Amino acid sequence: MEPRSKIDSFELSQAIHRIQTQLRWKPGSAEWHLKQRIRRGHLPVTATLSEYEALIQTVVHGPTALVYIFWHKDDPYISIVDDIADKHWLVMFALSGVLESAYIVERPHLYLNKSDFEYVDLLAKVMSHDDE
Amino acid sequence: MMTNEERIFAYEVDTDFLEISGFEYIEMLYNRSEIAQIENELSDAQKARLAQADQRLLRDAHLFYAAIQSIANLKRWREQDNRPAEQWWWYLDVLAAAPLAAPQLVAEPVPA
Repeated sequence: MEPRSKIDSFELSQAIHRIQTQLRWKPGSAEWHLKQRIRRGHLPVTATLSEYEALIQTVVHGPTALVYIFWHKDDPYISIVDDIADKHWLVMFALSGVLESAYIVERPHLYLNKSDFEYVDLLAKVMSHDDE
Repeated sequence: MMTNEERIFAYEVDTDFLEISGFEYIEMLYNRSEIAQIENELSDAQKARLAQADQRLLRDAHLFYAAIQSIANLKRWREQDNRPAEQWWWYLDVLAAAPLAAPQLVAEPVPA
């Protein structure tokens, strides 16, 4: 496996703070993600992008949400998992704050324990470094 | 716990949509493996829908693999789970590298 860089706690909390402040999608991808969530039945057919983004914000503000870092090669993607209406929502984004995806994971137990995922802590604890 | 119908539906939708993160396709591969475990419980109609979705995945294997490759190491995930060759969907990298094989796999049956 490739050697990994390390993310310090301040860098991590800053990245989460960025996405809590403003969601940034890859160019043109927001509507596609919304469409897929509706097609999969993760969101109602009447859902708007604003409602989807509000749900994402709920996940990335959840104090008991679980924070992971997913590593691909040497690139970290912050992954925040929280339960919304009995569904496990995963929000994944790059350190820059650009969203990779936000969707319901049906089988978190099958891959959150993979070596590519590094569990960090509860969101509230991660963000407590923001105040230091 | 998903029902059989929910699994088939999710697989149909995922194989028909190439505009999302490659990471979601990892979930799709897990779903396909679960479908394989319950395949003998499916109705004929569900089996037909599964076959059509499989054809889409085979036809566009290189596109699905490109999406996955940008965010995950498919080979490592496959090896960590010891996926056998029977679960061909975990071998999109191999299928993508064998373009001559794919059309044969997805070819329509020739009328008698």
